[in-house]
Amino acid sequence: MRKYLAFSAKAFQRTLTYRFELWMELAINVLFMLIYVYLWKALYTDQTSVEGYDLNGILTYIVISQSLLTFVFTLRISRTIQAKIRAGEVATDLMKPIDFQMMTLATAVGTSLHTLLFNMLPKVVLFYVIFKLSLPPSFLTAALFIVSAVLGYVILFGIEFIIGVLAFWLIEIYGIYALVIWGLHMLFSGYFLPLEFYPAFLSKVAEVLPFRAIIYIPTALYTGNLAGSDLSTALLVQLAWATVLMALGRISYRAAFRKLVVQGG
Amino acid sequence: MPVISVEHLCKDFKVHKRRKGFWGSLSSTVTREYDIIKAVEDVNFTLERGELVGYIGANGAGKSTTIKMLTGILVPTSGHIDVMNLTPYLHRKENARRIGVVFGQRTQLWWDLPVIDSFELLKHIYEIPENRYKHNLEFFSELLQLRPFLCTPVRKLSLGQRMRCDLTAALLHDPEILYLDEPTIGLDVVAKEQVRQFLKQINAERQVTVILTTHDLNDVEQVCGRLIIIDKGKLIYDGGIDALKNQYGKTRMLIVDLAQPYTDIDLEAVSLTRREENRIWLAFDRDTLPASEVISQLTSRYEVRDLTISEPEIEEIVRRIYKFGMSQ
Ligand SMILES: Nc1ncnc2c1ncn2[C@@H]1O[C@H](COP(=O)(O)OP(=O)(O)OP(=O)(O)O)[C@@H](O)[C@H]1O
Ligand SMILES: [Mg+2]
Repeated sequence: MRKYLAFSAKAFQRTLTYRFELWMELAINVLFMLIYVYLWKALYTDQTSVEGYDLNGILTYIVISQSLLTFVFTLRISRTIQAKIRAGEVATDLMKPIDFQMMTLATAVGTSLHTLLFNMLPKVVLFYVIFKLSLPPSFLTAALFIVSAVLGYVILFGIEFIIGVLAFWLIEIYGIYALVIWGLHMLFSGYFLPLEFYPAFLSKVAEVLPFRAIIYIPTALYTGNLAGSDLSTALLVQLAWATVLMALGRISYRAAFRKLVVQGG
Repeated sequence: MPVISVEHLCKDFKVHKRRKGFWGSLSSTVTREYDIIKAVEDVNFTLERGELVGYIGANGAGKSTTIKMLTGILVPTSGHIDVMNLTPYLHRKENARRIGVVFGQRTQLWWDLPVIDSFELLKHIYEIPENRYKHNLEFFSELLQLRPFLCTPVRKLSLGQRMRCDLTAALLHDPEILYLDEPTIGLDVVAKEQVRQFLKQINAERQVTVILTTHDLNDVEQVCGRLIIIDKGKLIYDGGIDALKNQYGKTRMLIVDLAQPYTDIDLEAVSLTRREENRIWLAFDRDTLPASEVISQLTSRYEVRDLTISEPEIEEIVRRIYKFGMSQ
């Protein structure tokens, strides 16, 4: 365990050196969020509530979901894995007494912790101050939100890890990455609309895919729109997806390793 | 009980056959034909604890492929590898804990971190006890003079400095076996010498078993007691260096500067191996033909300016083995 924490710490430390990128990213995120907020304010002038979200609720949804989305932008592990495979660096990793998946996760967590502290939290605080958003209905909801957000993160990681491992077989994974992350994830994660707003057949599709577990479930839980038995089902679904995807990642990585061909040297 | 034993080890690589031209590439995406490269073919050897072995061969002979299989990052096509009673690719992590590896062509240090941070990270990865870590770091810093650049990021180190750090990184966790794939590549004479002395010392003092691949045969001659030569994936020699010299180093070389570029050099029991303008290289067997006889034959027929006799060097022997095989 201690050794993986060391990876997290190093990743965190390394990210600290990219200050300029960080500020750029933060500024652009904030602008987008402002646009969404004013858009919803305009749309809600004649409405009080849509699908269970009042204005305050929808703004809170936007701010939380947009903040969680930041992980998607900063995680980048599939690309890191591909680069490592191309440079033959996986060889160096494999020659160490470490688990490749856990090491990758630890590194990702280090990077994301940085994202959380220096990007997400400032954004959330800023929008809370300006727009007087609502807090979670109870302390329990807040606690469950953290659990759910962590599970969502693991699911996102699981998907990216599998895409990255595909680079052992494929020369280029960008196409798949774009399809899954920019396509399916953007459509079905609920990052800019609560899934309740979707037409019935689309929300049916979303139900069976893992993407809603990344952003929609934690966010709707936070705003109090996901409650009662729906909430416990949602958490179980998240747990199931997290387990399945991590296991799949492990299996595909093992299979990749069996036919691993380390380039160069 | 050998530390490493390798039996009938084979590794094939499938290489996708690509045809030329548009239709060619189209049809090869459909039919998928492969060429099989036998990178390692039926290699057998065993190593005892504390041995220091040179593993040599021409480019593409299969040295790195063998090292990769021994370290467990490449799965053999067939055959058997036993390293400290483990099968490396099956017990990758357990094996990794007990070996150290240096690839001369790439570093295992973290490029953008100061050297000392990489060492710290390795301390955690290998779960090295604090006092053991301190002791080893002290020991290697002293021996390899690392102190001046311990806080420098790895990307700013010279090749020689980086190699010393990589050697340290491979040894901090007290491995029982050290695999070195071209550890002296690109180093200057002084740095090479430093690495060689270092290897001898850790081998003697710490009983580390060392396998070393290299293209610089001085490394082998100065450091290794034993030599394994592979050629096109097959093991062609395994034994002492002196034995190799006795067995295959019977040929002496006479280097002659002629007064003019004769084209009709023809001497009994002597072969012309090389020619550069007026200089020629003549090979002959030292057991059957005394040098004096060759010289008198030569000077009686041609006008000679200067000549030297060279005794067989390991370099020359190996060059000939690579070129003509072992039979000669
Ligand atoms: N990943 C790979 N895919 C296909 N062929 C490979 C691969 N790696 C090595 N080979 C082939 O296997 C053979 C042995 O390669 P290897 O790298 O083991 O040689 P080497 O003895 O280390 O050579 P060098 O002295 O040049 O480093 C070569 O013919 C090489 O082209
Ligand atoms: Mg090699």
